[in-house]
Amino acid sequence: MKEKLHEQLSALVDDELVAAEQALLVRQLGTDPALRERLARYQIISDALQNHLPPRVDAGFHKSIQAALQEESAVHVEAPRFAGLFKPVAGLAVAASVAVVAVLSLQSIRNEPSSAPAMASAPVAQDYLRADIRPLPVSSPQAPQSLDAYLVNHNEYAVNRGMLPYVRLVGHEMNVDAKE
Amino acid sequence: MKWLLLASLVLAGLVPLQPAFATGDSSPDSARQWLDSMSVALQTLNYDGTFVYLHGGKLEAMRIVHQASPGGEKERLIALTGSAREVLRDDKVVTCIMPDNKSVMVGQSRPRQPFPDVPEDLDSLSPYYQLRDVGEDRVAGVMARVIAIAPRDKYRYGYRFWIDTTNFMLLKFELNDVDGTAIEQVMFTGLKVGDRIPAASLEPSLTGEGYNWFRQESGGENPAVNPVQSTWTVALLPAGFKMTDSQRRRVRQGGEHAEHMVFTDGLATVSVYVEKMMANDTEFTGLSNMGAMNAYGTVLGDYQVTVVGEVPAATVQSVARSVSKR
Repeated sequence: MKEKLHEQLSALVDDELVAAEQALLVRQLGTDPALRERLARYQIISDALQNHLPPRVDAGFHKSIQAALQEESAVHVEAPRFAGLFKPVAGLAVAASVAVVAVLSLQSIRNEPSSAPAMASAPVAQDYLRADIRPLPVSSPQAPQSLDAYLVNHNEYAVNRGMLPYVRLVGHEMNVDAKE
Repeated sequence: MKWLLLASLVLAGLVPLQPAFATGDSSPDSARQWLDSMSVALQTLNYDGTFVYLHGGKLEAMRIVHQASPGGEKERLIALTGSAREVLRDDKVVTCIMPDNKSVMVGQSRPRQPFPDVPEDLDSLSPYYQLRDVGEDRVAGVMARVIAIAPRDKYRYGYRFWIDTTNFMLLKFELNDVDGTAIEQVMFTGLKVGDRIPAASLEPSLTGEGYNWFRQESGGENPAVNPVQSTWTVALLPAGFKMTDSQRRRVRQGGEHAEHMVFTDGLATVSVYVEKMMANDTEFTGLSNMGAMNAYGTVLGDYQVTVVGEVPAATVQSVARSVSKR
């Protein structure tokens, strides 16, 4: 069900959702904050992929999209008007579905954390070879919040890559999907 | 819209790019020169760019603003999707604003080393990594040089950089496992280089008011010169890793002083933290990660051992399990 909804959202951002489904989706957006959040997210990623983001996306950006959508759904707007509303925000018809494709395909690559890479071809300390490296359990414990502090501290000691290590901290939305 | 589809598939690694192999020098020396130039560009140019970060099935959009002036560097990193996390960094401090848990963390920034800090003596790296100038490729219509650093074993990651051939800016970055599979990717979708950066662009959009602030303790002037003799020891490290730092400091809020040991093979860095647990602390055992940064926790008596590094999970796990009291 959720997947279907997400597909519809993506199609909506692409401006490829049939009118009948648009009306239904807009109603759903009016009542589901998580869905609105996701729409805003698709929108921004699509804009980023196309380099159509404004120089500054202010913190109220999501909110203004949400407010507009709420207003629209309250008056049960006809589908074509929705598309009209959306375009000025988007700047262009965008392909969120593409972003989703990208996401899904990487997921399939990544979902094998323990797939054993080829054994070391380089000389490796003999004692290290004896280290007990077993496949890790699939479910990792929830890291405590203090892990953030260690990570920030470690970043400054890591062979420096400027801000790149911080990209992880900023981009790490641990609970985004868990909430839904 | 076809170009967009292609761009995204490439980003997702579905359509492997076959860079047109340049006729130029593909020796490690050439690769190294490109990396050096990129390091200089990243530190000395003004830039304001938007990029996407892809990891573990998630795609996030972010913006980075960087200013270089005689007074030093200033940077700001902002999440454009999801929670509006923000990181500000200058030559003295790094400030992380995290609205999702209403906290602000202020750490001490350390002097920059160019990345990658390829040692003068390339031979010291060569048992563990292979440095290669792959050739030319296009990123968003811009000609880039592709430089690869491939690991020779499974205890470290590899890196691939797409470097703008005109200004040496980093356009795309990939972190790979030993098989070459992309684990993390960063790709600029828009980048302005060289313009003056308005002061407002480097100001945080969140004040942090009403947030829980935590300042990490500084570790002294030059801890590397006068390292703390740790009471803990690490028995197993991947070949080539050496200790470069060791000190005691309070790292997390409400925590005891932690012993912090830093090990590096010249490219990858692993931190070992050992901290006495407080009565109300929750144990952290097992594996966790933030992107390609892995962490492994284990408990030794009253002490929490946490190993963190941009290395494969098996490496942090193995290192953590080999920690013991001297």
